[in-house]
Amino acid sequence: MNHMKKWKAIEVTEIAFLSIAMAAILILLSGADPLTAGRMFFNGIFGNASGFGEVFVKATPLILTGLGCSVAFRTGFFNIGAEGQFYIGALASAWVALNATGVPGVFRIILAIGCGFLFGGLWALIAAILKAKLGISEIICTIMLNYISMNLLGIAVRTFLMDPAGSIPQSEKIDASVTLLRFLKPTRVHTGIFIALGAVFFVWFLMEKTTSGYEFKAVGFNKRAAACSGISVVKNIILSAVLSGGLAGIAGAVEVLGVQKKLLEGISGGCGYTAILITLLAFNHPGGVLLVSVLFAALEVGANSMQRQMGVPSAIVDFLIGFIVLLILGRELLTGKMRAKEGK
Amino acid sequence: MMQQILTVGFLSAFLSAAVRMAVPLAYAGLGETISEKCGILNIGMEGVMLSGAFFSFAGTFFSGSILVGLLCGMAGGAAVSMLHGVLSIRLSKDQSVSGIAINIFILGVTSFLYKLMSGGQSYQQIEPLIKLRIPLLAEIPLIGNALFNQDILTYLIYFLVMGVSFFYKKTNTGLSFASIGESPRAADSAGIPVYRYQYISMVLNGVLGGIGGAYLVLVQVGNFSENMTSGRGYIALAAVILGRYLPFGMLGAAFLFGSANALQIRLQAVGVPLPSQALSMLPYLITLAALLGSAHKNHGPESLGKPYVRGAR
Amino acid sequence: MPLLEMKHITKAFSGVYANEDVTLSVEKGEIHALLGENGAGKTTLMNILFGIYQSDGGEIFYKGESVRFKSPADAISHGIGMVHQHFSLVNRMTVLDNIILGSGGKKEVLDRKQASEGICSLAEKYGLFVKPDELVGSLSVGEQQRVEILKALYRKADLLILDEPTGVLTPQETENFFHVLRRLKDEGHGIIIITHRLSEIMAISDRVTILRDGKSVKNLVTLNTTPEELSAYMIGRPLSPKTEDRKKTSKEAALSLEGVSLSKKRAGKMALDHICLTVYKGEILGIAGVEGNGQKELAEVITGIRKHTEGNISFDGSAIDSRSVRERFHKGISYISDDRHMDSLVVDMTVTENMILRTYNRLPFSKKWILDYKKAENRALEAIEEYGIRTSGKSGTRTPVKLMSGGNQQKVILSREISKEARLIVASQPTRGLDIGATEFVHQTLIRQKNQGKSVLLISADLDEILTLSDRIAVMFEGRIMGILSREEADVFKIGLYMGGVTEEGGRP
Repeated sequence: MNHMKKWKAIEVTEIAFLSIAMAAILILLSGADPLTAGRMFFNGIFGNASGFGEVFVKATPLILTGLGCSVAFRTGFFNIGAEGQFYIGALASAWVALNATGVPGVFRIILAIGCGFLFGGLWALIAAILKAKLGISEIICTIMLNYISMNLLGIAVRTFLMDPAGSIPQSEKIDASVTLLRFLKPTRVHTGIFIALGAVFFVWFLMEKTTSGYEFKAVGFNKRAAACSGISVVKNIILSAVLSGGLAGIAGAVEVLGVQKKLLEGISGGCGYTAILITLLAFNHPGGVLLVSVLFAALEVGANSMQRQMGVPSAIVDFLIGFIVLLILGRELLTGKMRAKEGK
Repeated sequence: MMQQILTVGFLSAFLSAAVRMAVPLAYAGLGETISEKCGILNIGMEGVMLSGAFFSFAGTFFSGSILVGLLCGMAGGAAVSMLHGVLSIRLSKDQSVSGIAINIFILGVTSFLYKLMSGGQSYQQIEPLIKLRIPLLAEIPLIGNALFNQDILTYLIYFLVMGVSFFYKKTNTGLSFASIGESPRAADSAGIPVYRYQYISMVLNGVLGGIGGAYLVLVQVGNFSENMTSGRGYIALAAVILGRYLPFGMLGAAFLFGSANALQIRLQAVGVPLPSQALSMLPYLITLAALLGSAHKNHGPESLGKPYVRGAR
Repeated sequence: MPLLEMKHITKAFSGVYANEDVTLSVEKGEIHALLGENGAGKTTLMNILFGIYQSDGGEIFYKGESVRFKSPADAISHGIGMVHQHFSLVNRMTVLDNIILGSGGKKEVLDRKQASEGICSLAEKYGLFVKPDELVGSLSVGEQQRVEILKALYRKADLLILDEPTGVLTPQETENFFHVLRRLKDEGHGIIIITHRLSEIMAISDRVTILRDGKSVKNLVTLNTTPEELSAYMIGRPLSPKTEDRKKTSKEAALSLEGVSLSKKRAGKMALDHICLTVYKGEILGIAGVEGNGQKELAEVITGIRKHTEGNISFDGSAIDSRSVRERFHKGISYISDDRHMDSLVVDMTVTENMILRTYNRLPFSKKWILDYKKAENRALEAIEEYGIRTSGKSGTRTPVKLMSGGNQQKVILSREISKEARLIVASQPTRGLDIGATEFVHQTLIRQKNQGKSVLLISADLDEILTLSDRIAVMFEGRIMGILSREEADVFKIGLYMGGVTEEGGRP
């Protein structure tokens, strides 16, 4: 087995090398000097407290949606709808936060987040039922639902949730007692990070220690054998989808209550789609999701700093992340010729 | 207001818009039909179209010629499809995974490159492709204007759909291509070069998808914006399913989805008192409804999405 | 000059030799049998000839010329045709389209009418009757085989390779098939039949080459040899008559089916047609029949994987019609499926995880919702000990099942399904793909269960296996039980008739 490790090590080094090379090329194309840009990048993350804290603020929704996607992918349910589930969760939680005036402070927060989970789960349930009962591709379904969800939010912030005092499409400010505490001034880090960490533990426990996790694995690896052994395939696909949507919904709720403190459009930062890449890179392990999410968040913070200081477009992050994922998918090609020579 | 809608004028304008909206979907759908009949599911079609859109814009802008732009769009699309092809055919990767990864990657690439090009400012329009009116046929009441007073790319898609349909029904090579999606083993045993044909289908998938994306830029909008395809690639996939994997069926489905788009635009123009987001949802809702309608009638090629490895035990 | 000569062919996969210094020759107008057990290297050798693999060493001479085929297309263009064990046909295309597929032709635009005429005259010449416009997916297996042979002949094959051609035919269909072979032989074609059926070799072949463990062991003229001699070369030791203790079956019924039916998705035929069957305690009931006549559906309806549409099923006296798969398992109905990779194992999971596939949600493997992995590991270790399961290297119970051999995978399934609680074991093709040692092990295990008073429903396409093990034999045809024979009155001829849908009265029921 030793030579397997050798190839893995070679692949990892090649991928790392190519990624850094590509980053440098893109920076050069932007008219900046790679070394200075690199310094600005690290400065943005480690240079001051608020930058460093921002990494965890950005990581929170990524961790939650990433966990959600990894749970769904376990049963083979390709949940591409985390983005839409995020927004539905945001919408539901905002409504509760603004309207459930009978419920005091902390309880309203819990209720709001709970509704985020519920509605995110329901949004995913639609696609799950369509797949389980009618065999409709969940990929197309969840993506359609994404656009529908985003438009629903657009309607909400222009009609029944719109701030009567203003004229832009956003909701009223949410009362401070119903938002998540920012406890690490001057950063924006809020208690949502604990919810995310709690979710990591919960998913790990679910997957490794419970019968549900076992069933998810069996269904994901071999639906037919699972069914022949008495495991309910439909039940498990739906359960994993709902959990997945619920986690994405929590991500939306947490973003509204902890960062934005009101409801408006475009607050996901594309985390629903990034979550898919996180899952692919984290190889389905919750700890991996945590790690990769923090990494991606750090990349974003650093890239924003590069954009501010040196004009390198922050879209460089999406480019690079996608590039790395494709390299990993295609890794056999990197070592192909070398393996062939050795085989002979 | 209803009176405004139910006039011939409105309907005629609506149909015309419907055809225009359907064309990019039809191109992408035709490309996807070809690849799926060869067994390859390209979820990355969204990325193909986006790539076609961006490179056609860049090509036209820097060269001043629409033709060059179109060719760049075709090349951009083909490159993305070939990427998917290598991952799916050569490396036998899961086609859904590779498709999604490609979409996200291309989104990043096109956004980054566009930001570089524009440096933050928005661009002037490119001169869009002009319409060519076909004399006699365009006189036909109601549909004449919609079908025969369009641009060259629209007319081209009519011929392409007919050609591809004939190809599969009546030619030797077409039969071979179609057999690969059903049973690559049978095709291989019959001496058909499975992998070569699959790669060819991917090139066609990319070129056609690229034209679909280019159409958005060169005919409809006149410039590029981030993520301008907005899910059209996925709608094209739905069109293929709805059309029962037949070229003409796909065309009909594309027209249906295009109408949803057109309805949104026309209703807004007429001043229907609904928030525009409600209308924007229409194409996506209709796609979902259409998928519901075609459920359980799986006419897809038997080996769709399954990698073929010769001699596998 | 021989039509084909393969000399000193060698081929290895990952360091393991599939073919080692194999030599074979076939003349024009000769029917040559290639005999060997599963895994002896017959299919590999033919795949090399047909261009699916390339040999590592040795030479091939075809019509006197040295050749090396790089792909099936290459082999086909030289006049070699192959009919695989699992047909290479496109179910959703017509017979005509399947035959002309990829056959080139100078004209690009298809002239189906002309092609149809050509095919019909070809079919007449060789006695291979087909209807060009029918969809291949709706044909019987025997008819599909004819399409495959026509495919090869349409491409002007001089040498035909047939891989286990009669495994899917009834004895009567096999006779028709032999007629076709003799016509081909008379027309000067060379034919290689890959088989492990001694009676066929004696009936139809001119010469035999025997492979064992990848090597060509002997070459014989059929007229001059006997089945015993062939068998001895094939196995490497003479067959010893098996003596085993068979206890009498009890009069108590374990499982009983009354009028059980299952309708097919395609209109018209029933998958199961009013089946009435009883399996007694301490009995091995064999279900014989050509695959595809409802055996799989029978197994699935009994184990609960599918729900029957009519009739009653009772087990141990109580009705189980509405019981789920899981409930039936816990009542004592186990299942060893014919498709172990699809139905019985999750090959990406470990030995331990597969061992608890049926029981993970009960004590001792889980309490409430939480798994006790340690107990599962212990169970796996017990099974490895008891059944002698070979796992890979140090990982033991953590070995992903996909890395294990077929025989060892089957042992995992056996140890899981044949627990103390099992009372009825539904075993479908339990020894398919296993070597002699593993096969004997399975047979002994099943007989031991019978002797302990348990019941076994043995479904097998291997008549020898059925005859060896069963107390009674039921034969299935098109979803019906054609007849049930006791061990004493069973013979191949009678069973063959039933398999082909013919009762003793001569007509179809």
